[in-house]
Amino acid sequence: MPVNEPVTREIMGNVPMWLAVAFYMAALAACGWALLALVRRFRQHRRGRRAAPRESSSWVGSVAAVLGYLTFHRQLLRDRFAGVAHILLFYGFVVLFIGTCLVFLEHDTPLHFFYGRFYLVASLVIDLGGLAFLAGLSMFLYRRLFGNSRRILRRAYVAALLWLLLAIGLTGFVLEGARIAVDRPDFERWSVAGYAIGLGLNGIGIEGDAALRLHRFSWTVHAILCVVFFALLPWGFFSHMVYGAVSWALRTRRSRSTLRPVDLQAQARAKQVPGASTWPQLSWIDLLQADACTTCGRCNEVCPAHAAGKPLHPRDVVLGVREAMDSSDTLDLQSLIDADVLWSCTTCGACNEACPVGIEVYDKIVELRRGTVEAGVVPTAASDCFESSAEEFNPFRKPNADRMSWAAGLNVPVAAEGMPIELLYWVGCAGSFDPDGCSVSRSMVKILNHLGTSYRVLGTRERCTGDPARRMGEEGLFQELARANIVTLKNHGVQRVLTHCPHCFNSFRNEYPQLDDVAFEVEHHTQFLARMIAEGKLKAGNGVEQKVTFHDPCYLGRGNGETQAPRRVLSSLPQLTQVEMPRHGRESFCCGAGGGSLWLDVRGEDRVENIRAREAADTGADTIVTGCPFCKGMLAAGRESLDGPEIDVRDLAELVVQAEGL
Amino acid sequence: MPPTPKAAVIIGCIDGILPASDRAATALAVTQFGDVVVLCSPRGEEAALRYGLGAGARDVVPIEECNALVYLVGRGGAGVDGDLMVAQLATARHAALVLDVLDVEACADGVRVRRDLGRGAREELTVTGPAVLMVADDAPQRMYVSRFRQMMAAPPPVEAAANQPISWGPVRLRAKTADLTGRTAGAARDRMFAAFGLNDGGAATDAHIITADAEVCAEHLVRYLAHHGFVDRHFAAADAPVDRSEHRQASAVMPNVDHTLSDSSHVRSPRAVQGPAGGRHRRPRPYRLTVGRLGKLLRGPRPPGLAQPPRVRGPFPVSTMKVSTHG
Amino acid sequence: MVDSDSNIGVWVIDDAPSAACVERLGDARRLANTMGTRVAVLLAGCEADGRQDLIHHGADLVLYFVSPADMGTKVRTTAETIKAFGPRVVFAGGNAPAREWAALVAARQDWMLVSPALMVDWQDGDITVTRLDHTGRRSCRLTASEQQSVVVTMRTGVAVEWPADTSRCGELREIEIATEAETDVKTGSTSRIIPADPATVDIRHADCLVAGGRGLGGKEGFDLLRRFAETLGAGVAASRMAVDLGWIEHERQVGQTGKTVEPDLYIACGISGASHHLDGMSHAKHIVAINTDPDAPIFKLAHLGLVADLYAVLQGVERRCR
Repeated sequence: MPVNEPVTREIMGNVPMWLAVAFYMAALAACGWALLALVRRFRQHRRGRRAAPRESSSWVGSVAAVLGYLTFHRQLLRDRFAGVAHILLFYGFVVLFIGTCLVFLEHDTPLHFFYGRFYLVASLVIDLGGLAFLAGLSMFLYRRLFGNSRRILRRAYVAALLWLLLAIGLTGFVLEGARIAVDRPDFERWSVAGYAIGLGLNGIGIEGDAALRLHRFSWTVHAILCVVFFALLPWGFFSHMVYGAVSWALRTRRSRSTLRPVDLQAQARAKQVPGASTWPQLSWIDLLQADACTTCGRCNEVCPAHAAGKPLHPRDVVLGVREAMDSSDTLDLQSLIDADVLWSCTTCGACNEACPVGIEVYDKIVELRRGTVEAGVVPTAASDCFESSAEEFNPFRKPNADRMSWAAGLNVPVAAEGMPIELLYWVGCAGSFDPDGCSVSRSMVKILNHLGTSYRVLGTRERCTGDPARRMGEEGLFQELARANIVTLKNHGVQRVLTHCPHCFNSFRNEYPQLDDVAFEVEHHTQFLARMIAEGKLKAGNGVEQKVTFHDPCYLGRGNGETQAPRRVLSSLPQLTQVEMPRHGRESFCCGAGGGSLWLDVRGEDRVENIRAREAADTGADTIVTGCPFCKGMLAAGRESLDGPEIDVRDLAELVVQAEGL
Repeated sequence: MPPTPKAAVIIGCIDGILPASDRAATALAVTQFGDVVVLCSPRGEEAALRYGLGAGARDVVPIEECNALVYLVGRGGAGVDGDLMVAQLATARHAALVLDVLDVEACADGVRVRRDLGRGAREELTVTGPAVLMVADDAPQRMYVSRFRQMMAAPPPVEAAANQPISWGPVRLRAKTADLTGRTAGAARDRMFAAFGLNDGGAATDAHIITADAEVCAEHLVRYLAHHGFVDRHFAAADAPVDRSEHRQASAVMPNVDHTLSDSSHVRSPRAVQGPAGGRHRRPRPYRLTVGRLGKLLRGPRPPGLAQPPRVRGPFPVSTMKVSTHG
Repeated sequence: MVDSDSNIGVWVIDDAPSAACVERLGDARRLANTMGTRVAVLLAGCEADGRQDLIHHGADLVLYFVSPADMGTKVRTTAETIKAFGPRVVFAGGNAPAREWAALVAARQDWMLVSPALMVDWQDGDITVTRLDHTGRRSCRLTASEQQSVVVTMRTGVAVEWPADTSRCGELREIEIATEAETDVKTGSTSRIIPADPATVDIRHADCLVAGGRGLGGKEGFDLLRRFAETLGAGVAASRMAVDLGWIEHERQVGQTGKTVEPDLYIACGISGASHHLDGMSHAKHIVAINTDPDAPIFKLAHLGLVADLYAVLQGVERRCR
């Protein structure tokens, strides 16, 4: 090319007309096909049930959320390596895509801008984008080939898609380099990578016509691969580009441990059975989310049941739903997702928290559990809990008349019927019947009496909040118990509820308002204690000379976002040193009791509570402190499996009692 | 004229609750006899009817109009009259009566029934012709009927007179046989709470903890066991009391069976059967009656069902449909 | 004949003169004495052994017949035989076949039935029966008025025998089965008894249990425990820890996620006593704990606690009991 030609390049100059036409047609066909496939799949999603009414989120808000996420990649950066790789890959891809669009505009529309300074800057940016794209991709491929990441899905079809992208990237650079190698115009230095390749090609003797031939060849290969890429867009893990964005936009604002509201009356009227045994019985959002799965495996990584070697692999639940959608409508999901898988779940919500595309895994598991409950086939432990909750209003199979036996020897004010209650201390079933829980109740009563706070308990008129029943899939029983409790609380005009159990806390705070208007506020005892200490009402003067680590209960920390209050309490206890476990706060590792697992006990290679107890012991702490009666019991059991020195398990309230000298 | 229903379920509530045997009876009927099940509730309790219909019973009919081949009756269905009610039904319908049923299987010529004989022994009967089967309290629960299904069931109003409820009181043991230790269920709970320091100076535990070398401890243990009748340190000669005790143990288990079957396998202490051989001749301890034992006697043990795993709440198998090879 | 046949107000029916039958006979004898009437036993079985013993233990009359194949004939024979004597109270056994027999007789004759019963008293012409509920933890008293006859069933171990008096005399008489052209009750055609196997019997059936935990140290520990359990005639159970470590099958696990047991004797060896375990056995009547850790929670629940090496203790006990 003459030296004083304009700074630009001829687009598709070396591409014969027939090839260009063929390419356009193929590309159009591929895109059309992809679009059709996407639309068809979306239609399939719509065959699922109506989604529960979602809280807030306008159009604009959802889109903004997606854009924000894509810009900053916050969720993905939890795994530093993958996050960085994805940022490179994603931004590279975006830049390349924009570059292609620019070229298309220049070539196929009357617009004319692709020259001069613009051209130089664009070339540079696009090249950098391409390099980023390749860098990110290489990181992923490296991890797959040489790394030992256990969570990624090592399947041929997943690897093949990565190799496809790599090939697209490489051929893109080759063809650019070949184009530049033809005569190597000076201004092409701005295409840094391309220029370097061009130099290299010249160096090995490819220039002029040879370069042109290479250019045409690699262009053709590149074009074919791109067409294949468009066609495969709705397939494999490529689909997350579309569905993932939609899924994130539709992401729920509910707290992590709260389930969706269920309108049983509406379902009854519509002759629908609650729960899902086949895929069309899942909500359309669940189906969409199943397609959004990138197979990254973060959910497997954080799942406590999976860590203990139980049959549950959260990713397999999601992919199972996806597979069901590819099969017949009437395929029983149990044939893909075994009952043991379902009953291993502790409903801790770590999977939902970890998922980079906002898939609600635990909600699907509960939906499937509901399906088996309606079908009538449940483990004996589950049906025992249900019957016990229905007859004796507690899942521990203890008589309701014994509900106040924990209070022997203590002065506990029980409310008479109809008496107005301003502050209700809700003891809960664990606090009433489980010895570990009873010691927490007793400590709380001592503290409340010491503070002189005016409060009441309901005594034997307290019923289970229904949380275990709901988690195990008995929605009807949960609603029955919940409505009864709401009526009781209304009749007493309760204004504030104080509870030491995070499950009860979650039920009152998030799930009861789904059923009926509630007029009370809920406070967890860790929040209450923090407040009392901050207000100076609790002196906590006695030294508690221990090294403690706080185990965040799933339903308090991750589930409701309260991680600071218990730590504030611990900081204010004198002579107490705190250490943190690697998995703490919102990333806390479950104790293993939730979702009915306390009773269901599906066998794995290890035990969840043993794993957590080991993690706690490894911090060198003398004491594990927690804020949940179930966690306390489980960790006490887990500590039995330890070989080393005896580690104590206490509730926060018990420590405060010790510090107050009560 | 609707066809003769193959099976009918008779259930009712006691103190507002549907007993476990009634639930088991419903499950057995629905799973074994499909949808030709009719439901009778003698006192017409809505909860019972909802449960039965939710489980899959086809219809609700009064007992008098019910003419099924097999009647599955729960304790609630039998009501206050208990065994008498089912006996009267069996007599009226010319049917066989089987009590303490654990499992039922419909077969070509009738039903195969497995029932509890006490202390782990079971009996398998094949009944041809009409049968009235009263389901045991400990029969395995094969099915769960969700509250939603119960809510959705629309039971027709049934006019029936309510039975005079029994007012139960506490048990006062017979003076002659009582081992009046005064230990009740409450005491066990107190003791457990005491173990966790929950009773501030609560129930006296009268625990006796000995820290000593193994021989001394062994001596203490043997004395304790002997004192409470778990071992007999003094060898007794073979005589009538020993005879009868063995006899008693045997016949208590299998009254209808030839005594040659009553080998020592079911006897708690594996004594060399009445012989000088081995010289280890032990008299089983006197059978003292207590509230707890009374309860256990009447509740009976809970052996596994015909082809189902036992009522274990532990690890695998979780699915109730898996067949266990144990027991 | 009429003279000696009248005034038999109390009856005991049974298949054989078993020890349980003798117990009920004792109750019948005492009741008959207060009522001023006589006692008869009806046996549905023809073995000669033991009939004389019944006389010694308080029966005035023993009637027996060949046990018929079907329940209908048995019920009819029983009813026809007994009603001729004008009975007030009939004692029957407490296991399922005996209760069926009793109930069908009561249904046929329109007599009162109390099943299960704890005791029977007589006062001023009225029979008062203490009935138990199905759990055995509650009772109520029922009265049969003068014209009413009542059948009561009693489980083994409830009644108390009358001490044997070899000088007593009574009558032994065989009676004929009441046959009829048409049987009114059809019974099961085949029957097979499956006795309980002590090696595999459910731990909930055992009166005594020896349980092993982590302190056993290994699978071999359970072999020793099994031998020890055999000496006592006890079953073998385990804590969750032992099951998790694979030392024993999970059917033997006691605890919140295993089985709940209520034995008369529970010997916990090497078990620390976490709350989930105690939940499954706290209702045991006698709890013995052997553990080298004096602070183990199980010691607070145990009636007898031994802080020593468990193998040495068990071996010591075995030696003494041999």
